[in-house]
Amino acid sequence: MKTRFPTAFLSLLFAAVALWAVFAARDWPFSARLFPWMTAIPLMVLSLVQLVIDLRMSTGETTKVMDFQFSPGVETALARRRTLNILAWVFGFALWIWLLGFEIAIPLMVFLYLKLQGQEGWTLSAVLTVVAYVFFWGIFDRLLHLPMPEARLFMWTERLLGW
Amino acid sequence: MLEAFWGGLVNIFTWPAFPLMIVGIIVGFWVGILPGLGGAVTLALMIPFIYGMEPIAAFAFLLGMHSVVQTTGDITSILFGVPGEGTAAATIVDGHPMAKKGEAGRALGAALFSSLIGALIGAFALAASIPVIQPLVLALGSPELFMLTLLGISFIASLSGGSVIRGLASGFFGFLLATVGMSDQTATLRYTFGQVYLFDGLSLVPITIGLFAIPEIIDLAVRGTSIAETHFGKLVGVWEGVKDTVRHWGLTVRASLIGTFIGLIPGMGGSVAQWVAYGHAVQSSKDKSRFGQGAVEGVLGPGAANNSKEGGSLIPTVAFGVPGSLSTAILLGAFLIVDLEPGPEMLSKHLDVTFSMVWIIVVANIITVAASFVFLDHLAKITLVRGSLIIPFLLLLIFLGSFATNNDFGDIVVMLLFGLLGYLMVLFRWPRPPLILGLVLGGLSERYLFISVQRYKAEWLTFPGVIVILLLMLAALTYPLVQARYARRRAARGMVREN
Repeated sequence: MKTRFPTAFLSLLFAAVALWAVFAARDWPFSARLFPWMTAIPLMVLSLVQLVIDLRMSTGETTKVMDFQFSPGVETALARRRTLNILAWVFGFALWIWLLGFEIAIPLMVFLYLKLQGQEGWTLSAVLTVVAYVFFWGIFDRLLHLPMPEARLFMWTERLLGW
Repeated sequence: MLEAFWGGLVNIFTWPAFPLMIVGIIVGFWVGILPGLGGAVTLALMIPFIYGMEPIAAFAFLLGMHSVVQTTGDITSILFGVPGEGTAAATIVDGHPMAKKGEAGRALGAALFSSLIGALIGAFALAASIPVIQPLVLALGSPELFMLTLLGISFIASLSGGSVIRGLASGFFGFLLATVGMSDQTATLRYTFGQVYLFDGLSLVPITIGLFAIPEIIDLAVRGTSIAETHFGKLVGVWEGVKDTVRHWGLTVRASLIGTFIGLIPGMGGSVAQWVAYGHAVQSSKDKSRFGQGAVEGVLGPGAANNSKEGGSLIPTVAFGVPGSLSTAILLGAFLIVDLEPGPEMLSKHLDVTFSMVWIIVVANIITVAASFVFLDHLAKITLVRGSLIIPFLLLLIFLGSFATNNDFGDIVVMLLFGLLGYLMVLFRWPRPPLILGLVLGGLSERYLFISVQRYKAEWLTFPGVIVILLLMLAALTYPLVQARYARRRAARGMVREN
């Protein structure tokens, strides 16, 4: 029988988190640890039971879930490549925001995504980039007055140059 | 109560509630039409915008948006055979064949008008239920309210799929996440790793956005297609579809009542309502052979049920804090953001807000259906938009939405972490709704448990109300097991007969 470690991964993760949560709460006052224990102990038990079920399930067997499911019909290797690709964009965008701030990261990401990933034309990419920036500037800056985080790269540069 | 009822109507026409409702309707309109972007995800994305809003303005925006998503979702289902919403899948069965036969206009007319009737009946059910459930809710104490939070998790866990254990574990994980931060009772710092960011606890918005939006964005990118690949001609016969709704008014009303009732049962969701209503449409028809080939009744049933369930699912959400669906679970988070506590106060102190919700569903649907009829031809073309054009704007929304919660980069990190968790949960078929429900109800649940224990020690466990709710929980959790066993037996019998 083949084991189904990938499927069992979440059961194991939840069990480990619950075990740690119970352990971390051991010295807290009763009122503070009552609810965490009331939730972490059942979570640990349920996750361990699920772990056993996952490991004993035959390969290919699946559970029905009334929740969103990924679209079928895309070849596995291609789906994996596209998943990694979009995750790289998502995490890359977060990194750009951290390094460059929203003001620069937004037009940069929108334009590069449309041009490189979407392979759109120069005009459409430029127009949509302007639309995205105006949306950001109009709603989050002018309307909501959201204080934007300082760009790390500029902070470091200022420190380095002693400004 | 009558004063609150009319006050609720007046409230939604005030500034800035009405313009916000129109904005919400416009957003919901497009979301419904665009497949791959669900109503629940959009609710999650839009929640950050309600910070600082008055409750009625916030609900005008969110509920105005959410209550029309189902209505326009039918347009894509009928024209392209691609469900605009997961809850509009049943409309495809007969709606798309009607479109193929050149009756797209008639099918759309029937779907839109039955949706309107369904929404009105669902809203009426919500309004009519208030005087009935008000005394019941006001009689509940902390022990019963604590048990109701557990009942909510049990319902969602048991009805969200094949594995009750996964559903329950997911719910308890949500509860555990709600304990992060400073304890209200003892000021103990819990699971904060010494990080100031975590002292106030985990924010609902970045978690909701990560958990629900990231997996859908990944799916949109993996599909790598435009939303619809088929082109269509000019739509005719829309008025005929409206007449069909009137001709089959009995079916429309019955399907609406089915939707309301299913919406009322926490955790059942719209996917169930549409199929039960479709089944009823088939069952009640004299000529069953037409179904699947383009029978207009097959469009009317799911169309009406999809919208009426929204009013139904708001009843347990508002009255008990037990959401009737995934969307209302997210909407429950909005209650907390605008400082409203679902439960007794919504039926006494904030009764006008509750009635405003009823009116928002009614007015938003009337506006949407009217606008749909006018712009039907142009609207349908939006489904030809390429996924690659939508993704950068979705990324923009998830990052800005997460950051806007506390103006802290930590929220973006939390959103990304829960995005990965959401992806793994979808991949390994763990239900996400119980997790978000646990997180939303965790604070309330802990407070009710604390009061119960402080006031009654362990005696509250013997209260009749607590025992009744406990039995309901057990029934909810064992029902899927009994059902699965029954299905296995039936399958085994079938195999024996075949042999």
